[in-house]
Amino acid sequence: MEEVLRGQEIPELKGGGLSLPPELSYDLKLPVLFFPVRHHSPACAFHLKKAIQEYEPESILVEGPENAGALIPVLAEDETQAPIALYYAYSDKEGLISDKKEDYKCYYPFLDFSPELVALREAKKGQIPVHFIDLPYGEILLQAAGERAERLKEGEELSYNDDYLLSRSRFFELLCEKTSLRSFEELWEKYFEIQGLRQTTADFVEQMHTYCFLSRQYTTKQELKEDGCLGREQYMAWKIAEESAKYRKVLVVTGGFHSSGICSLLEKKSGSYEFCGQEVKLHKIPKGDQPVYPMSYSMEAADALNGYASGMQSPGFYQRVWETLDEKENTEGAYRDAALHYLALSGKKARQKDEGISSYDEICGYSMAEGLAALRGKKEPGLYELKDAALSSFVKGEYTISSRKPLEILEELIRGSQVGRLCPGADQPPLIGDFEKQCQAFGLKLHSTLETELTLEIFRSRKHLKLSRFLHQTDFLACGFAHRKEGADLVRRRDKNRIREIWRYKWSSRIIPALIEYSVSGGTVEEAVRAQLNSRLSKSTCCREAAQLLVKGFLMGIADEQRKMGEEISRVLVQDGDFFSLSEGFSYLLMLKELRELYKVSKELDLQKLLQGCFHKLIGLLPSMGTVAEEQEEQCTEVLRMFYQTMGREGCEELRPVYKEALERLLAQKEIRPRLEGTALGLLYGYDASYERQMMRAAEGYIRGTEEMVKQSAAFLQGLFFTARDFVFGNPSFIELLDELFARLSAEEFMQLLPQLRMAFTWFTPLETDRLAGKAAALYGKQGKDILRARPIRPEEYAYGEQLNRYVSEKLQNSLIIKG
Amino acid sequence: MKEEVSRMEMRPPVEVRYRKELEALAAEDQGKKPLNWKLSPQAVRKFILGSKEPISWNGEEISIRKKYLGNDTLVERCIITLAGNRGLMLVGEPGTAKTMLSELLSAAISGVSTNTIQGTAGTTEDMIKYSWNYALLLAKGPVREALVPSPLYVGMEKGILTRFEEITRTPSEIQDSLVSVLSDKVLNVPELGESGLLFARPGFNIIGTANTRDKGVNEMSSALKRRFNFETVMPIRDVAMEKQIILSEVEELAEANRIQMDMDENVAQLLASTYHELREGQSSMGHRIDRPNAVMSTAEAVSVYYQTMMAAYYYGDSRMDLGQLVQNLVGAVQKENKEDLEKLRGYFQTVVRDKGDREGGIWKKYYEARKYLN
Repeated sequence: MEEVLRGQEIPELKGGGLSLPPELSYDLKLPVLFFPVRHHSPACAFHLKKAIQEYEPESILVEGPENAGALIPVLAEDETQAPIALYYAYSDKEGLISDKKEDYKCYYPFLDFSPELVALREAKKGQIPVHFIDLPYGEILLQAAGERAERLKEGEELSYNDDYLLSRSRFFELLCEKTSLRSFEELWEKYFEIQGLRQTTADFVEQMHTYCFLSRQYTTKQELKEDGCLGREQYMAWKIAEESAKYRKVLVVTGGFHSSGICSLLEKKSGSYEFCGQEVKLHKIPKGDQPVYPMSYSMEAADALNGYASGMQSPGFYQRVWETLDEKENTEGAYRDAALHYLALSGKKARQKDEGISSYDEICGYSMAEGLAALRGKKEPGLYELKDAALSSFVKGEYTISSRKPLEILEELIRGSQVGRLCPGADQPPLIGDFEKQCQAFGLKLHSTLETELTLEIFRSRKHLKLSRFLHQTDFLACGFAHRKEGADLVRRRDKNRIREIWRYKWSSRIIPALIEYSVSGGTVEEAVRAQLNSRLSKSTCCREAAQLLVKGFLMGIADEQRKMGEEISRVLVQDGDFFSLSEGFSYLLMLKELRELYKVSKELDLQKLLQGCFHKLIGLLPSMGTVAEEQEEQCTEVLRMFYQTMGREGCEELRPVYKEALERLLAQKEIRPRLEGTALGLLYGYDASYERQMMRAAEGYIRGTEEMVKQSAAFLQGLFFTARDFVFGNPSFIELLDELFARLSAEEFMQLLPQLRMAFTWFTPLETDRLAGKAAALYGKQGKDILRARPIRPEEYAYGEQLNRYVSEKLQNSLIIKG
Repeated sequence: MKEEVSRMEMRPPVEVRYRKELEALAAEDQGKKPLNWKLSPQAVRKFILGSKEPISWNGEEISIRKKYLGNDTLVERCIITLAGNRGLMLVGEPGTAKTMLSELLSAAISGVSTNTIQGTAGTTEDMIKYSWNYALLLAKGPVREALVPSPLYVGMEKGILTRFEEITRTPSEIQDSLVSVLSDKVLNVPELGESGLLFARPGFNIIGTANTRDKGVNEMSSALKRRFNFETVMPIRDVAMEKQIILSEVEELAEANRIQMDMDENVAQLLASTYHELREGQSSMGHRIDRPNAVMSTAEAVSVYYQTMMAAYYYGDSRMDLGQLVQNLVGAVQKENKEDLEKLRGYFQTVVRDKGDREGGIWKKYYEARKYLN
């Protein structure tokens, strides 16, 4: 099939009679040779390597923020393994960009096939001086205005080497339309990556210059200015002229889009170039305000589809292409080999996951890829043919979320999983160094993107406790390194009795940038956490949040400033007037008091005093809670019961009368929600049985009241049974009253109240329900045994029911997802 | 005139409708063709996806219209599949132009789109393979002359494509009779003795279409699935394209039936939006909408437009009447259950009302026509 389709020459796209400036030609005698690149392009990297060999430059200049110049040796070092990136930050402390004085950051990723990295590596190999020539990062931001500045502010554009001017130009849109290609990326792959490999370096450079020149023609001067492009080009041209005065042969590696712009700012004079543009005046930005660090990066982050930072699609695929090109120095078959490799590999992986992909499917897939390449006029199948081939041959049946697994496997493979590594001694913020040192000390695996599980016996092993604290610290810094899967969750107040913690951790390239952001807070993870904790605590005005931070501090082992923390909490207690926030804060403090031995709470933190302060504030607010919003009613009843339970503990005796009085004041309110009324009455009955009469009266009030009141009786019962269900058994007249309620309700009214009534009776234990039913039966001259009972459910029936439930909900969910 | 009308076909096959385009493409075609293909894969692609530059043929400028609006790469994959060893199975919701695509492919590749098996619950194995002319069978015994070939038999014998429509409506065991044909490319007719082996000629392949949402469809066996490349045809997700399809399809229908009436772009836009929003469950203004159970396909939208057009042409003033449109819409939506009508009403009460308030014009009139939602 392939043979049938091939045989047609790919139509050469010409510049339409366009004549490029002679300075842009690939003339090896020129004093300055402009090599245009697209970032992360294997074909550009391949030809660049050749150009360096052919041109033998005395100096190489690379587009890249100048303030990272000192880091070039780290990037080019043999032991440094790509993917790596430069992390640039700028803190607008002087308000040069806007009055808001915000912080900015961006990445400059390098893959093995990034032409810039190839230039740096080749320069090192040939001992050629190499420099970055773009404006420092802060200046680039200052040059950008309008829409682009907005984007930078929103943090949308995170990559320094964004090709957006190249790929969004109207010129390429028109070309895509004309060539029936789906996107700029596909067009690029066809004409530059695959076809470009078959061209001579001179032809390739000419084609690149032509395309970039034309796409620049479709970009207005205003756009160029707003992008900050013009200022940057002025600066780069100036740097080139400077270098040209020193060396006879200078190779300039910049984005192809800039080449003609830079070129127009230079004048050739007797064997060198002179700058004829406007000088760019740099602002005085302190070095500390625009730090730059090298960092390891990952294929996952470099993948454009990841949406993390603009990168390239499926870097794993192109890595394979590059490896073939680099090893064999052979331009034929690199793409074919990569397509075949990934088809076979994804087939194999899919088989391992029981996806039923046979070798014949792989054969058909390969034949499809070749056929499509021929139909689309490509010399070899590329990424798009590979994906189409897998879609056609690997997906059996309709394309749905369940049948697309083989494609997901392929996507994962072509994305790649490599994680970069910096050479030893690379300049990193001390915080990163400390993080890595601690990981090493605890034996945690770095540089693997596989998730690892750890079980920690925090109360038995000192080392485990330390590790748990460290993991809590990384969790607090939200760097995405570790999360606790199981164990006591003091922050959510769940599973407090667990003595083991199960953690999962996984390395990802997002960790380093996340940590770098905290590097201003301290030199070690602990210092950064402490600074953050204190800063958040000092800003907090909410008791819930402050107490949570206190709990987190204990979990992280940052508890040596307990007096100071206590003072902060006292301050927050005064400022916070929210009943629920205070009550949650109260429970956190109470929990800490209970666990003080385990978590080494010192005497400096006077929890008793804080609890009392919180309690009195809450008691003051309690009477006004009678008319709390309906959705908060349940929470309120729980708070009331929690207080009751707390008051029952040792050391709280003197608070009991205060609480009782507050409940009475709550009941004395003119308006009170029935559920709260029931709850409060139940609690008072617990303190003093003489409240029995008041309870009966209130219950009668609801049950025998007007129609609207009857409707509220179920809510009242819910509250009452929540706190005092024993009352029912000691009062036969109450059961009669309940019977009266049921007799009074019409069938329709009963159905309306049924959900709430059911909820009310759920507080009874099964034994109590039995007793209650017996008493109800006695009212009608029957006995407990006469009650109709359902046959007890056997355990296996229950298990089957659960299984059925799971199956149905799974099916439903699937069908909803498919429909959705 | 009368004679001309009597000779007219209600819906001529693709190869007749686009005869000139096909002939022009064949004359111009320089590409290499797989054996027995009428056109090269590039020319097939051009026939289906259209070309901006017309072809000069026989002194005429023949423009190649884009016939399949949707996913271009899907068409490319289909063409390559048909040149390979596996059959092509087009699956998807009803009304997503699967049949049209399979007709276009057959007409372009084999020059004939009518070599078709129509799958139903009553399809039997002899309808798929071959049957006998019993009079001849009795007279002459089991000879080739007495054999009645099925479209599959014809496809294999001539080296052309066989279309199998609605394959999943056929019982699973009957579908499986294709398995051996697809893998060995040979059909055995034991009654014919030694000459009973029919080897498929190059160019033979099968295009199946299958519905995924209709009631009464049968599962395909894994063995059969393995012998097909599947392509899922998705509903059109772009309102502007859907509008374009409505306009061009209706125009073609009107022309074939001699209805001389101008197309109303606004109504097509309105209908495209309605169908799109009801299908997606969200309006362009952000309202969340209950999706009807009925199939909201573009083909249905075309039929609603066309019905309204006919009513306007024969009974009205040749202008699209929104009241009539809403009535036809009700007929199209309310097929499976009553709730769908409620959902349509809900759509009018929220989305159409708000659009009427904001945009006025036709949306306002559309909202006023809600009285027909009964």
